[in-house]
Amino acid sequence: MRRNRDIWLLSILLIVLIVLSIWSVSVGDVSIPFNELFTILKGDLSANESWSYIVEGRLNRTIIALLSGGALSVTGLILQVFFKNPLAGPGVLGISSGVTLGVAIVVLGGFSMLGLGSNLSLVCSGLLGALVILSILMVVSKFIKHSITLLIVGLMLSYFSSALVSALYHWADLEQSRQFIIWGLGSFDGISSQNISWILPVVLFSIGSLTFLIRPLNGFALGEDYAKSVGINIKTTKALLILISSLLTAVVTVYCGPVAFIGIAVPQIVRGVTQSKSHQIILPLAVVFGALFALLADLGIRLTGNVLPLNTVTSLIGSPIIVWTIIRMNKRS
Amino acid sequence: MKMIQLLLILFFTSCINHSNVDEVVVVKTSKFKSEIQFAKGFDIDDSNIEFSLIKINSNHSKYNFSDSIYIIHSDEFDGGNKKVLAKKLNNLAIQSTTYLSYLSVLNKMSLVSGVSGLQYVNSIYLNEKINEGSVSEIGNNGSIQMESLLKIDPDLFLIYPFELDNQDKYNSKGIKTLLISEYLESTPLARLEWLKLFGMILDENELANAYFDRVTLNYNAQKLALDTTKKMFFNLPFKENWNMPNSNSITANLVRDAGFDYIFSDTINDNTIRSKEIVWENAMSCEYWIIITSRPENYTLQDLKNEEPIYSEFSSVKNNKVIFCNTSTTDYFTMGVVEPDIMLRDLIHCMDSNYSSKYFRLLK
Repeated sequence: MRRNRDIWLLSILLIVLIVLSIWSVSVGDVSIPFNELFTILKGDLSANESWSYIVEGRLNRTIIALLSGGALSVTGLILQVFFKNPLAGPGVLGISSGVTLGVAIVVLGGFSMLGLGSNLSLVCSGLLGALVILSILMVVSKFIKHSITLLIVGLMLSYFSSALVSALYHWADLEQSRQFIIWGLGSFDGISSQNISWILPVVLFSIGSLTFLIRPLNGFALGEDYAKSVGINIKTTKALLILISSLLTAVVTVYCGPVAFIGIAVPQIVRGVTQSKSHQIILPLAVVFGALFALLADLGIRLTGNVLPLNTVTSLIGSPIIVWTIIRMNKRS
Repeated sequence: MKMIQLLLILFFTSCINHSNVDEVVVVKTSKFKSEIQFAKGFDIDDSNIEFSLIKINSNHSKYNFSDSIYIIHSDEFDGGNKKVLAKKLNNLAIQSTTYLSYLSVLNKMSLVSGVSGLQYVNSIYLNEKINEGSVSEIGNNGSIQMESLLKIDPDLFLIYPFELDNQDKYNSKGIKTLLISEYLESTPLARLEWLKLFGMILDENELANAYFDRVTLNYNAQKLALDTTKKMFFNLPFKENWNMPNSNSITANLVRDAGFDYIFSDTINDNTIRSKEIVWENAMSCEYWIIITSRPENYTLQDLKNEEPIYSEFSSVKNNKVIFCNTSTTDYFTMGVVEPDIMLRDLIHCMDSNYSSKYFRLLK
């Protein structure tokens, strides 16, 4: 009965997501008639040449919002299960800061002058930053009993990374610093079709591969000892989860900036709307809710004249959810 | 015992005289009448025989500031609490490297002892002085390091208007300041006219006026009437927003004087940020595209096309009519301020194959 309810919920959310995605492609500062929009999407020539590029830009932005929202939400979910902490997320644990540091070393450190500032090198340096932070967290988590302490460690790692980034500003020129600051505000805009053509398979493959890890995730949610007792290979599973969450965080952060709150808030929303403990239900709900959250945030930005930075909007929506989660946690304890 | 030592230290530090009152050595400079033709941000009051009064005002709906300084010509003038320049300046500190252009014209670069943002200094002379250590950095990216400023102890510190709140802080430590807001002017000649202010404070009035008159003459001689067939738009976007100059800005007026018709000339207020979509739709058929931005040294038309696929479809790109000023390889922000006639000439002639440009070039 409960499962049917969740499947219905998922179906309704998917329909809402499709409707909003169509709306996202059709609204903007330039008014394009619906029949022209349809013509462009079919691949035919438009009456106005600029419209096809405008629609392509909106479509790319919508796709990136959906992918980023889904990816960050799933990353948050993995980390919350992994560290047994409902407040864990790529931002809170300092993983996004690790990616930021990796990107800053390339951009502000002047490596882009040596031709190393390509997208691939940015993703690799971002991934390395995420993996370093996650590895430190894993080691530290062995010596920590209380889950909140791990968050403080994550926060300290985040401060440490930010301090190193601030130091890098000293050597960067004004233009590099300006670009880095604006990147840090987050945005789903300006990502080319060429970049999407490889972001899309990486994100979908990473999220898709998690479907093979549903059983281990369910096991982890009940504790590592339980997972071991049901025959889950702890070492391999941990390595895979770390790699997937780092890759997803790195890809999204490199292209869209360190997007706050989606990773931590969306899994909370999911747990609020479903009573299911199975990741067979939680995982797709997290993907859809994450995509919806990101798309709504982006639509909010676009409908207010592109004035607000992405992180301002995600923080405005996400922070009350976190406060609500903390209150709920305290009530339980 | 330690307590007594502490009290003694406190006593002696409280006795330190922090004020650094200048000994007034009046240099009787000749009274020179400066007539202001275009600039709206400053005025020079020459009505009194004993002094000239420079008055700075915001001249902008968005800002509200004012400043003034007395240039003394007679030892009988009692400045009282007023800000006075009673002696010949020996050293200057500047918050913007733009001011270097005025100093360069007046051959007074040697007075500079402190600069904010050394990396933006293009002057060979000043760079040598920086390497020698006789010119030091007093801050970066707009922020001023008080200790560095106090170390060089300038006779006058030329500051941006947004440093207004800190003016009292500098003055209380004996550093005289003067607000320079040349960038708020709306025409290239009005911005150039600030040279007269520099001439006044550096006692180089004749040189300043002669230079100004010559450049103004050159500029006006080249000026073209607006050609409505020469539609143009400006610059490049950053993410989703496209920052266009206000239609009453220095840049927009310079381009208008070169005969170009700016398609967003309705932007008479400050709301000059356009969405990328709006620009794409309107700029597609524009004949000219003028870009003033920072890019690598050998930036080409192909590099521009690579930035965004739609650019290849713009008429200006198809017809090779993209005019480009690279702010990182030209002196656009420094010497460009005092060479509006050369910038205008570049805009008019850069399409000619034999023309050798200084600021604006045709992107190939």
